[in-house]
Amino acid sequence: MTNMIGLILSESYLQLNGLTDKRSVEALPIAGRYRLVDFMLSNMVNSDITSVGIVTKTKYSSLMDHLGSGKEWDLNRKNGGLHIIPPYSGRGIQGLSEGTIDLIASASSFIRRSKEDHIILSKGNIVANIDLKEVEKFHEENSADITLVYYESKEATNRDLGDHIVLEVDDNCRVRGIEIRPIRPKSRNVFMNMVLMGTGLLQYSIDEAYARGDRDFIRDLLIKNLSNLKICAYKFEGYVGFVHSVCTYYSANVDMLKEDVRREIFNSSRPIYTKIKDQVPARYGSEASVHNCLIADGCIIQGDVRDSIIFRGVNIGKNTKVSNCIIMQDSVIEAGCELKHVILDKEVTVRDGGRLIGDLTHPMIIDKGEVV
Amino acid sequence: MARIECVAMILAGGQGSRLGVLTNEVAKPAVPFGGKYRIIDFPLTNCSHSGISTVGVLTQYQPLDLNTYIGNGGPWDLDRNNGGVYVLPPYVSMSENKWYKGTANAIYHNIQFIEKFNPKYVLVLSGDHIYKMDYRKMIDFHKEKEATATIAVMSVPWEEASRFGIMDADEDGKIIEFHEKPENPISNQASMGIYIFDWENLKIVLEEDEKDENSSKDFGKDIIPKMLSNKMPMYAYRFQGYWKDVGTVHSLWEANMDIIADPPLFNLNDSNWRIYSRNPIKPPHYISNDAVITNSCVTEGCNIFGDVDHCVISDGVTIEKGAKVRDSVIFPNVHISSDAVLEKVVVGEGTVIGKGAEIGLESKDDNPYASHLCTNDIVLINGNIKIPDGAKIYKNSMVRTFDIGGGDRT
Repeated sequence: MTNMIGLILSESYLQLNGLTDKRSVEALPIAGRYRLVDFMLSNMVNSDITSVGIVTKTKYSSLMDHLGSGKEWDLNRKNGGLHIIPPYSGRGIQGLSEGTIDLIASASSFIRRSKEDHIILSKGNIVANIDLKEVEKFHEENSADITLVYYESKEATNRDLGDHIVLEVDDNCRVRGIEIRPIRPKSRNVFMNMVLMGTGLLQYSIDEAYARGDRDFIRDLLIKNLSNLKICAYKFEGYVGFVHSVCTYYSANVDMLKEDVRREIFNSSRPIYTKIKDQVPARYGSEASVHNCLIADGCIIQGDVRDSIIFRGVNIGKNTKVSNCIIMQDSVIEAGCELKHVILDKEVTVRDGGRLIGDLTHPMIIDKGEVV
Repeated sequence: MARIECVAMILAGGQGSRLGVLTNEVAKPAVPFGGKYRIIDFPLTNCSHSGISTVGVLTQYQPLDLNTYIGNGGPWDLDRNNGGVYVLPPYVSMSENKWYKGTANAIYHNIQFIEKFNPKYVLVLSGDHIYKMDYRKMIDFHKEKEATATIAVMSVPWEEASRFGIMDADEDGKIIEFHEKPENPISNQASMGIYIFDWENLKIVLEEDEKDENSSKDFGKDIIPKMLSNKMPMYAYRFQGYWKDVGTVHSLWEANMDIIADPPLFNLNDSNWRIYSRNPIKPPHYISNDAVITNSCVTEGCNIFGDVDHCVISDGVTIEKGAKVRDSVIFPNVHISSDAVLEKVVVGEGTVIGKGAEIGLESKDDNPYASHLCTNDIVLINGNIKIPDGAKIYKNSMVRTFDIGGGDRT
């Protein structure tokens, strides 16, 4: 049993070209049959959390459509369950909420109603399979006020780290410094945007911060309190895929072609749940040639497909070559086409003989519903 | 409770003994089919799409898997406030042990259940047929003809007609004669085991039949002939489309092959009539660099490294590098090790095939696993067993446990 509730905060300022025109980043289709938010939501459910709030900000209809009543995550409960918290719901907020503190404040009635002692705050743009019960155990063993979750990114360049929040952690797992998008990072400890703290402490801190006019959770609540509160850091050792740009979106997808990553992320004792579509098994035609691909149900594959992620209900015609692509749900690629380094959004049609070539560093994106 | 127009009763108690080891531990309707389905998904899906939301599933033989599979009926949209799906096993009452003696007896024992909903019609279905059918059209036909009973029929090849209940109907569809498995069939219109009855009349006939000691308490053998001799208006509803009784190993294999034919003889990929099932919670399947995959269907959770042609691969199956699998039906969570060769094999759930095993070799005379249940060169391998590395198994075999036995001798 756990004594936690979960709160997922929408990451609405992120823009991934056309991919986020009509949906928030949490609702991005990923890994063939999932939406990005499925990973964090499943992590919470698999850690026995039965009450989860999702604070939305803009373009949330796609997310709401995906989550429904929360049935697929076993979150359609009498007690607790899934709460989708729309913007404009905080006290005194006149317009759209601006900072993280506003986002959390808009969930204050959800937080106040909960009986659990701890709350996990997280963003929804991360691919990882993490046991949050371990984080809670760590939090209690260290008698921490706040626990931040991080991973050590050994291969990241300073430039990569410049996209993240970097933690300085001492030998006793205490956080000694927090740097936001540093130019000269002092460590390779990347904060995973996951925070565990007391529900009461969060409520109190948000009330106080709100009264002061503070807006930012990291700057105003964490950095300012590094010496007043016991802020500890829990090191996560597994695979982490952050999605904050088209490139990281692309690599988080193709990472699923690696056997060790797939095995860890889709660990059968902590499965990743998603919306069920009742698609038929994928069918391969007589001329199909498929190598190193992740393929979802409902596809009909008749062409040559390599190193790609193919979502549910995609149709790939004869004599068509698809390589290094991400093809989203219900797209149709007709006969004799060639696609390389392309991201097709949902329901795109590529007509007979179409040729689309992108680059590994700049994959070509075709917007939802387009006909090429 | 609000009156419900039509209650469906699915007969799911059959042992399915002709499916050999596949039904050792599960009832026939719970046998996997088509990669991610079980046979019972088809009648349940048909009910759901036909707007019939009150469904009784009559179980008897090995009901545990079926019970857990059906659960609250959510996957078929049958978790309803009024109605929904009910699993109805036989029970012991004050006066007797109500083990179902026949198909009609099973309905008879659930008269109270049906009465609770006070329906006008009762739709009786079989839990072991593969087909897509809109029962609403059949109910409309039943109403239009003001029939007491309507039986769905389809044309079958004349040479097979003697395996079925055969109907002779006039031009209007009114049934004149009915013969269960006749030696010399008078028509090729075969009963599909799908019946609509006016509940009031059916109840009377069921109660009478129950008192008849000579009755075998079966719809085809007793109830339909009784209704006919009572001159009740009965009609044959002609169904056109795919329908298959998957009662034998060969017909089960064949029906699986029908969905991967090009174009499919039975199309499951119909967005207006999606087949509902309890979906496995598994990621998309992975096809490796070394794999060759053609003319097959594959579903979630599979990892394919070998060579697969003309197969139905269920969820969670791993086929290692160098393995060659042809014309086979692989049930969930099977592991086929490297360099194994399988031809025309049905492999039960969770079985492990050892390295370099050869299954489906040319027949030999003293085949220890030979079985009369496995014909047309098919090999049937039990679920949850291990076939050792390098094992050799010949055509027309049934393997219960390797080295200990199989075939007809066990």
